[in-house]
Formats: sequence, C-alpha cells, structure tokens
Amino acid sequence: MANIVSLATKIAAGTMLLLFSGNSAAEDINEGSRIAATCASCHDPFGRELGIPPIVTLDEQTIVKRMLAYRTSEGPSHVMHAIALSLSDDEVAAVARHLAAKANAGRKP
Amino acid sequence: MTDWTRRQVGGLIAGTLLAATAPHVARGIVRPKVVVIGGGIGGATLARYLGDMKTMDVSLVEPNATHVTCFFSNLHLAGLRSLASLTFDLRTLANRHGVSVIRDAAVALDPAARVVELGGGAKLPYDRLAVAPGITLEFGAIGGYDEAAAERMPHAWIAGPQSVLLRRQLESMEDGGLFVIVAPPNPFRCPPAPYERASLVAYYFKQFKPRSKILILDAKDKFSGQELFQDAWSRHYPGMIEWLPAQFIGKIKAVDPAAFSVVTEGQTFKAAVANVIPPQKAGLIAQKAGLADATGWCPVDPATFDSTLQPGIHVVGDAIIGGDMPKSAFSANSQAKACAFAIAAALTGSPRFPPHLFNSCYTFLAPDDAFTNAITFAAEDGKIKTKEMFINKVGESAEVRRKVAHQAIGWYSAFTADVFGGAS
Ligand SMILES: Cc1cc2nc3c(=O)[nH]c(=O)nc-3n(C[C@H](O)[C@H](O)[C@H](O)COP(=O)(O)OP(=O)(O)OC[C@H]3O[C@@H](n4cnc5c(N)ncnc54)[C@H](O)[C@@H]3O)c2cc1C
Repeated sequence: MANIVSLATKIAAGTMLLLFSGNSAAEDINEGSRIAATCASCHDPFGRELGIPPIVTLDEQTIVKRMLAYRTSEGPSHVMHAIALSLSDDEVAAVARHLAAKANAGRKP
Repeated sequence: MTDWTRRQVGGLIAGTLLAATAPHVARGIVRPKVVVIGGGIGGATLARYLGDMKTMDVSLVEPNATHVTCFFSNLHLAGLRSLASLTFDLRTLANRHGVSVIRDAAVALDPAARVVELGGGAKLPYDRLAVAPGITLEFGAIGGYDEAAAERMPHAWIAGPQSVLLRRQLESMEDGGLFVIVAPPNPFRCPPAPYERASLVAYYFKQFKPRSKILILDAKDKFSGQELFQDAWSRHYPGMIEWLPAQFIGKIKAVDPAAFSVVTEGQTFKAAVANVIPPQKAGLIAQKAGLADATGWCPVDPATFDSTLQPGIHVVGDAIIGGDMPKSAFSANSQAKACAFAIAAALTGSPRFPPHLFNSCYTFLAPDDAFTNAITFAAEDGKIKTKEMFINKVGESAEVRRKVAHQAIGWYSAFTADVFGGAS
C-alpha cells in the first residue's frame, strides 16, 4: 500500500509537471534551489562585499570545502556554523551545485 | 486485485489533484492563482518567490505603496538612518518578479467560494490563499492608550509615521529629560527590539543630551539577550538606562497622554517622551477570518504553514504561533520561502521538501557594537523546535563586535533585496 501511495504521488506529480512544462522559463525547483533560498537572506544577490562575503561567484568545490569547515567550528562565523550544522553532506553538495550553476549561467554572454 | 489497485491509484491521483487545485487548474486550462494578503516582510517574500517560479499567477494585496522596515528603524530614532533609506517600493515585485500588486486591503475571506473581498469592493478568486498581515496593536489593553494617545506617546512598533514622530519628540526633548519605554508582554514582535531601542537612543543622548535618562517599564521579568544588553549598557552608557521588571512595578495599568505619565500598580512615572509598546495579536484580518485561536495568534502546520483552523489558507510571519521561532523579519522571510515551496508542490506538483527554517537577527548595542543570534529549526510533532542556537557572548573584543555591526549593514542590504526583489 505504501508503494502504491508513493507511486500515485509520483504519477500525480508527473502529470502536474507535464501540465505546466509548456512554460519553458519556469524555474527548476530542486533541493539546491530550496537551500539557496536561505543563503539569499544574507548574501548580496549582486555579489557585492558589504560586510558579508559574497557567494555568487564561488565555484562548487570552494563552497563545499567552506561549508564543511564551517561545520567543524563556531569560531569564524557562528551564523555559518549553525547553517552548516543544519545541512547534510548531500544538501551541501546540492546547494553548491545550484549556486555554481547559477554563477556559470550568469557569466555566459 | 489488479482492478482494486488500479482503482485505488486512480482515486489517489484524482484525489491529490482535486485536493490541491480547483478543477480548471487540474485540467491545465489556466495557471493556478495564488493570492497573498499583506505586502510586509512575509507577504513580499512569499509573492516574490512564487512569482519567480513562473508557474502561477500571483497577486499581492497591500494597501500601502511602500514598506518601511521596522528593522533598522531604531537607527532612525538615533539619527543614524533616514526613513527614506528604510523604505521599499512594492512595484519592484511587479516589474521584476511578475507579481500583480493590488493596492487595497482585504476585508473578508470566503474559503468556501475561494474568494477574497477587497475594501474597494473587488472580489479576487484564488486557488491558494496566503495571509501575512503582521500584528495588531491591542489598543485599550493599557487604560487610556488608544490611537489618539499613540499620537502623543508613539509606539513606533509599525515603522513609518510613528517612527518619524518618536524621532521628532526625542530631538526636541531637553537635555536632562526622562525617556520612558513601556515594553510589552510575550509574545510580541521582535523580542530584543525594545532593548535595542533603549541602547540606540542612549547612544543619541550620550552625544547630544548627556544628562538625559532612559527608563524601561517592563511587563516581563526577563528579556531576550538580557546579559548582552546589560553588559553593553554598563560599558557604553553607565547610569543612563534603568530597567524595571514586572516584579518591581506590578501591572502597567494606564497612561495619561496629556500628562505624559505611565501608571503602574504602585507608582506613576512622568516622562518627557514616552514610547508605549502595547500587547499584540495577529493582524486583524487573520482574526476576522477565523485563522487565530483563543491566544490571538494563528496555529499552522510547521512544514507547509497551512492554517490548522482553515486548511487551504497559509499564514506566515508575526501572525503565527511560531513555536520556538521568534517574531522577526528573518523568521517571516524563512517561513515565507518554506510556504512558497509548499504552495508550489500543492499546485504545480514540484517536489515536497522539509522546510529549512532559520533565524539570524542583528541587534545594535551601539553603532559599532552589535550581536547576532543564529538559530536553526525543524518541524517536529506539529511544532517548530529549535535545533541549534548560537549567539555572541559577553566579553568579546571590540573588534569582533565591530565586525558584527558591519555585517549587519550588509545583511540589511541583501535581505531587503531578497524580500522586495532588488532595486526597481
Ligand atoms: C523596532 C523593531 C525592530 C526590529 N528589528 C528586527 C531585526 O533586527 N531583525 C528582524 O528579523 N526583525 C526585526 N523586527 C521584526 C520585524 O519587523 C517583523 O517581525 C516583520 O516585519 C514581520 O513581518 P510580517 O510580514 O509578519 O509583518 P509586516 O512586515 O508588518 O507586514 C504586514 C503587512 O500586512 C499588511 N496588512 C495587514 N492587514 C492587511 C489586510 N487586511 N489587507 C492587506 N494587507 C494587510 C500591512 O499593511 C503590512 O504591510 C523589528 C521590529 C521592530 C518593531
């Protein structure tokens, strides 16, 4: 029964996605974009350094490395320490991938 | 067996679609309609994030053309920030994020017909409704404190003309005057803000009216960030700020606006300038629409911010019973994002996530001395619970605090761009 429910949900979700896929400009909603929404509460969207380090220009590896470092110590930033502790390795990877992809898209002419 | 399975699955799909959407939406004829009531921090964030998804028609109902942020308005009281620098034009949400901004107030909700009635008489149909009306000030809870009294003894707890009025009074106050702050009982908008206000006004007095004093008459016996504040008051403003808790003064009974006095159980305090912050409840429309319970606040599902009293209507921001989440702009913004993803999942079938709820409030003790907390939350047993909490500590170096004050400026700029959608 549990399987049927989850299958049904998947089919339902698939149907809904098809219904709205006509709009190609629609934003892709995924794990990465969900977490990146939290980053946007503090980090400047235009990548300016105004007291809080910008993140929109960072590459994927750098983001992952820094997040894992923040997780180990309260020292450099207790705000980032809290955030890093709240994310699993998979979530860190997802948000890094998302931010880096957006940065790349932004750099294209 | 096969037959049963197929029927069951079919029923579930239809059920999922119908529960989530109106029939015309399920048939894919038109894009789902979402109406958001209230263009403050929670409502603007929600409308912006839903608008950016580009899969829904999003309308934002707000009577004001602009929003003046409460956060940083204590800097205005200290003469450190103009009101214009705290003011955001809601048209940016229309110009850049595809939101229809409707300048009107919602006066009634009809959940059965899925229609919002506006003050101007228009009726707005919706597939999903979200309400972010902020707070109502409970005029009358303190005897004599009504809207007219607030013109003499401003609350300045909804930023705008009230903040300008209080600033003017502080400016024209003579050196040696007493500034009284009446601090409200829990729960209320922004727990550290009355004490941040005392700190920043003390900073102003120290420079321009050094013989003046500040008296906080509190409805509580302790307050948020108390150690950090009391440490800062003795370092920056020795002898200037006195805090009297409820156990000393008893109930705050009444005010006399003509005499600028505040009457408690045992005593009458006469002020040169009085800032009376009354008790609060969820925004009026939430109460009128049956979204608030006996506490005056709105219970919600902590994962989707769907009302538990009126399912299908979401509530975010100060108006909710937020469990461990404080009533802050940061919380409202965080809740609005979780709510946006939940609404998208219900209406467009995008993936469902557990909410990523976070709060980090910057609080000024002086222009170059600030602290911030950082709290992560999770939805557990129908409530929002604290997972981890960190905060600056008493005894940190001036350099550390200067850095936090600098970060606060950067936070304000990034945060308001996130909420209101950047420069217009
Ligand atoms: C002095 C002070 C300092 C603060 N400092 C901080 C801080 O440093 N950090 C922080 O995170 N938070 C801070 N806050 C708290 C923060 O301002 C609030 O928590 C935040 O504004 C809540 O957002 P909201 O969307 O719930 O309400 P609001 O931002 O108040 O928005 C509610 C909106 O709904 C509209 N509305 C109401 N009824 C209707 C209706 N019927 N129809 C249409 N529209 C309607 C109102 O006009 C208003 O625009 C501070 C608050 C104060 C007072």
